[in-house]
Amino acid sequence: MNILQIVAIGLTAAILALIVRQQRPDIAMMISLAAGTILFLMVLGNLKAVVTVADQLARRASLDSIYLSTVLKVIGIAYIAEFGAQICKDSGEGAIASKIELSGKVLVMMLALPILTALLEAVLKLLP
Amino acid sequence: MDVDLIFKIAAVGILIAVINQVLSKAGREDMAMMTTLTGIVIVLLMVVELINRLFNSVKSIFHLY
Amino acid sequence: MVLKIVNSCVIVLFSTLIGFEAARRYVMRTKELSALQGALSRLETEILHYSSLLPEAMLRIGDSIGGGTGKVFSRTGNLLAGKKNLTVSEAWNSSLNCLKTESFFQREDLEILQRFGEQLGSSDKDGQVKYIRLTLMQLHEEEIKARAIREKYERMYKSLGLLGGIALAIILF
Repeated sequence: MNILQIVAIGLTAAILALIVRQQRPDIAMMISLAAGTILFLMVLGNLKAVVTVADQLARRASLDSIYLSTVLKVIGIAYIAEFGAQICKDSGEGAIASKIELSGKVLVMMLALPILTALLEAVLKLLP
Repeated sequence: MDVDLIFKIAAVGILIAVINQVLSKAGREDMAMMTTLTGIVIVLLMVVELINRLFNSVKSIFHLY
Repeated sequence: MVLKIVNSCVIVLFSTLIGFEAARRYVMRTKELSALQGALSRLETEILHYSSLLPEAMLRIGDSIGGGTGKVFSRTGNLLAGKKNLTVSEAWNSSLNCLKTESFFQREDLEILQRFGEQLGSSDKDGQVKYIRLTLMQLHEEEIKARAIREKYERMYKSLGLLGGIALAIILF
């Protein structure tokens, strides 16, 4: 799946959504939703390879796997939240979009909390 | 499934618009509304399966279980 | 791949045919109302100018006009010619019953025909002719109404048949 195919599919979907938007804006939203999902599913394979390599590197550096896992989870939450919020904004639901973004931020904060705690404890231990 | 889905959704959307117009012009507004709703539900079912795949993939890759 | 295309074409074709069949009702009703008016005009001519006897006139009209309308006249003529001591109204009414299932007439049209049958053969030539003309007027009104309904629904059912077929083919593709 090279970039040209992806761009072609994206442009085609954009044109189709534009045509349909005149008659049925709701179906146009579903077209853009489906197009975004399909495009992401296409590059998913490559993404999986990158994550695997990062995993191996972390293991070789004898890093506690929980750190890498947390970072990956944060990235995942951020991506999904942005996906949902953008779709809502495109449909005109700015309020719902901002609530989705807020939830994403809260969840990321929650995930980062143990690491922050561990960091603070380490710093406090260093202090006399 | 993949790219054809976009064309399917677009075609169903246009057809729904046309059927809506035909039925409204013939005076059967209620039937027009019902067929429109049916069409939207069908498209929704098509898209929901796709979104399910997406979320499952993201869950597995980013260890979000 | 080719099989899919053939399947889709078959679905579209059948759905269009169903739509056309649904639209045919309205087309046939106007046509039959028109034929019925023609038949009654001929009856009027036969009574007025040829002074024919009712059974023979019925048979002649039934032979020349086909379809459900012609059958009513033929059956009435046959029943009367069979000398079973039936009054004309009874013969007419029993022939009307076959119209209910075989033709595309609606309730209003059949009511007009029933009222016509009730006075058939019971008055003199001029009375008959007057009543025929009255029935012709009523049928003409019904025909105009039927044409208006047909205009609205014929196109709709045909388009629906085609579009529904295409939608089904796309969804199942």
